[in-house]
Amino acid sequence: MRIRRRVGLVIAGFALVSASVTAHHSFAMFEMDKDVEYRGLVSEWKWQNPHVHFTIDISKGPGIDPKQIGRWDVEGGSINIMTRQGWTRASYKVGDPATVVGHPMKDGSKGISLFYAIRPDGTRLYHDIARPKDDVAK
Amino acid sequence: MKCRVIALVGLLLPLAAPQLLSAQAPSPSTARLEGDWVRIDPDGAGSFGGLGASIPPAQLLPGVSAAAGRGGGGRGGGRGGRGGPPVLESTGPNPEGVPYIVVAQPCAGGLGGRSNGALLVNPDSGGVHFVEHKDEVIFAGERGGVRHFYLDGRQHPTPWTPTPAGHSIAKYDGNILVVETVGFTAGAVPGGGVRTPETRLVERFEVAPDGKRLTITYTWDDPKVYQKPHVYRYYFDRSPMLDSAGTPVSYALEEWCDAGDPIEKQSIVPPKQIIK
Repeated sequence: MRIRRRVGLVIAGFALVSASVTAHHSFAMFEMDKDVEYRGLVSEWKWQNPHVHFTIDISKGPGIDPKQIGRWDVEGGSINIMTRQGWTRASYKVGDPATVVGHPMKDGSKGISLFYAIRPDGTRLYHDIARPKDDVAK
Repeated sequence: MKCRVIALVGLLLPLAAPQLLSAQAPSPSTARLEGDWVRIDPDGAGSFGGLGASIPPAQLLPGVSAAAGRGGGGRGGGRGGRGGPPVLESTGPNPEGVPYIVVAQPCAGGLGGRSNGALLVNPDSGGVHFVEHKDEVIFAGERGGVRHFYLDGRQHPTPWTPTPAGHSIAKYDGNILVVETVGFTAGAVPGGGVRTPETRLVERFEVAPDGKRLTITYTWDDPKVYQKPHVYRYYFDRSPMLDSAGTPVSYALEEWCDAGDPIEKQSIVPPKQIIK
């Protein structure tokens, strides 16, 4: 097991940044450092692997950004991961009002990478293990 | 005389055996590594990239660098997805109903820790599972990948063909499982580090006395790569037991990836717009 090499070399071809939390695929197409709130009605609910998806319809209304009006595809995580965060198959159903905070697509398409949903009582249902500092259990 | 010695040994052996075995025995049941664990974000990194960014930067020797390449993708990475070549960025938004394909080769390698090409070395948010035996600990990821930590006193084999898991030997230091691994395939390490087949990784798996929190301390050391050992920690909570028709269950080891499933490759599907 002593493979002798001169290491002063550039080790190429591997990721410089090793993301600590991955999912089934890359999320580079989302603005992961931008958190946007969306409020609408659930129009489709797919409790499925590899990632849960649901769509929300956002209509004109007071306080609604006109750019948000339309139908949005919200992508969550795997059933395992979301279940551990408190999600269930029955968390939402078609027609339910939903408030979600997520990361928008860079190209402006109507897609959202879910960060968390805000329940009617104000508590959050997180997609995954990532937490903002203001919501870390001490 | 011979019979007396045999009889004496026969009497003492059952008393001595537990003492002999204790040097390699798993930790007490209250703080066992055995079971399911899920990584947590104890410092509120707040994002997937933030967790990685919180790792102290590796101190590499002059002339050694982790050259940029995006194989493996993962959150915060490029669009290459898990293994396989990167998928070309589209030149514009996809039309309604046309999914964004984000994984070139889903399930490639079954790398349970994925993004850096090593196997379960840096677990992501998927569940992980430990099985503790007398002579080895098995470490498995719910999304694939198994590592074996040998406790039977064997040495690292020579020669060894590098693999994503390397070769691991282990021992207990009190309640802490200490695992030494060498023989990885070359690749990246969190915090801007790199590994070669000669790089040595020591992992210390320490379960809190209440059995609820696991801390893994990683120490990468290679005098040809690092100015000083590259050390960082990951934290895990025991996977919550969930009720399934009255039976407590854990969801670790229930997820899989089907490379033949086209849905595995895709992300957002721009919805058909009916609201104007």
